[in-house]
Amino acid sequence: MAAVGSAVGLGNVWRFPYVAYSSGGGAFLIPYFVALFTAGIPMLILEMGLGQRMRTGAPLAFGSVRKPLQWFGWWAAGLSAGIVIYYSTILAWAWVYLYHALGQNWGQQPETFFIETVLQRSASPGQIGWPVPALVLGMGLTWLTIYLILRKGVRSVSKVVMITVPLPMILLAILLIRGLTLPGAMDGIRYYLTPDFSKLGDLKIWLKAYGQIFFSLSLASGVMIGYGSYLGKKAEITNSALITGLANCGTSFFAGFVVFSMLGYLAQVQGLPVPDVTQSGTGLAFVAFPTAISQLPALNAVFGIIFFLTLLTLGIDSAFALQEAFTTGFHDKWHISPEKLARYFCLVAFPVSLIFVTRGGFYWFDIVDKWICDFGLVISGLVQCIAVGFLYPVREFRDYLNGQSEVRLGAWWIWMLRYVTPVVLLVILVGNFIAEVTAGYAGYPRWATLVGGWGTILFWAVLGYWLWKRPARAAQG
Amino acid sequence: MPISAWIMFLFGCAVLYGGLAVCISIAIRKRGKESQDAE
Repeated sequence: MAAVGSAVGLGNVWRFPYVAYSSGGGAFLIPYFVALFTAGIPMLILEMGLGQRMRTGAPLAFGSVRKPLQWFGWWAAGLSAGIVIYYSTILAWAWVYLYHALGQNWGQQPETFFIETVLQRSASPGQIGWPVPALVLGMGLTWLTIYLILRKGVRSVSKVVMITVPLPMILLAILLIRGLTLPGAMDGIRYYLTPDFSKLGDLKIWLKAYGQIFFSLSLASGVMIGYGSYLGKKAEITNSALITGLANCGTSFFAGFVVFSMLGYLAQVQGLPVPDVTQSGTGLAFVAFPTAISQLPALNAVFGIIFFLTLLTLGIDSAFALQEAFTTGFHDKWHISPEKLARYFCLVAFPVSLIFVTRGGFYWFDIVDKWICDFGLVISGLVQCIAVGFLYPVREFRDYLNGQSEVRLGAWWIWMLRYVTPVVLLVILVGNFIAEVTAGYAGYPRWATLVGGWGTILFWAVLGYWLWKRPARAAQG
Repeated sequence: MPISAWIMFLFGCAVLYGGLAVCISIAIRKRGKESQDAE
């Protein structure tokens, strides 16, 4: 139950549908399944096992493999801090939608409502403008909630989350039943499931698939190493990793049916083909789900409130894990109390996250999300595979995992970590780097992707280097 | 729906949900065995 609980999050309900839609629906599913089995599950086993064995966060865990790798550990953990800072924007949107759900204020045009009323989006990333007051309030509530719950202790939250785990699945099932009975729904489902083999040569789609797997399974950012460090010495790793990975992707696959059935319905209403029905990109969930809620036969406001509350619960739960992946390193190295770390983190992260709720903030959110997931996490995954595959006694590590598991790992696991995953990731990264340099991303000006994209990646690398070089403090007593 | 879409649907369901059912049954069996050993 705990593994399934940790698997279901905003990555499934918010990110998967928009990545699948922007990658051509059915064209995305084959790379997605390949990414799950070539990188997702092998790396999940690796990270959970490494955390359990080392009993420490990512920076010191990688530092134990080779000293300079502590820098990489800090950088990977920094990516998780970067994620939680921009990710809080979705929670700010969810707070605003929680209010609007009372009267379903999005009406018959959820996309226009999202872009013009909620985001008040400007024309380009250069026109940043002032923060939108309602979103600032939402952002403030997000960080206040995170801080208050962290202060009380994460254990109290995990009990609540255990109760709320089945809730998103029940809600998704209700919305799916309604979605499938709407006119045009099957057009959306057809677009979602029909593979487009001509797009399999497009490296951009492969990068998105691997980026989505890394984000959704919280890989390559130190989260799963931290999670593993809390597991008992005799806990089953391999089977837990399989359950986590399959439950996670199963939830995403299921959420896809809900969103694409709604997109099929919207396509019919607007008289447009499914690929042209919305331009909201990362905000797709805030167009599709309100549409679904409005189409329910009764209790729309109640369902709306429950849905956005669920979204908030899922998001805040994931925010703890991401925040902890970063701050655990400070606790391990300098013995700073978790309460103090949470306070400092929220105090710094809140003002920084305000950039994403400005009128141009949506563009910066899109750029940072793209670079951290599609480049940052994928580079981190590549380094991790090479570091553990070649610098760590990986055969002995496999025997250690097999010693406590019902599901035994064969030579395939080492082969995946050493050769298959790194080669695939390297080819995808190089191809996409060339494409980005030559063609840019989504029509954004070059300076915006340099500052928001590569700048973010570089910032965490520099900070990681500085943190690595700072001397550790010896434990007292 | 075209046949390829049906294949994708069945593959996704079999691999994700079928695989999940198998793994959960292994975990339940292991837990049962452990509690029997403890008694």
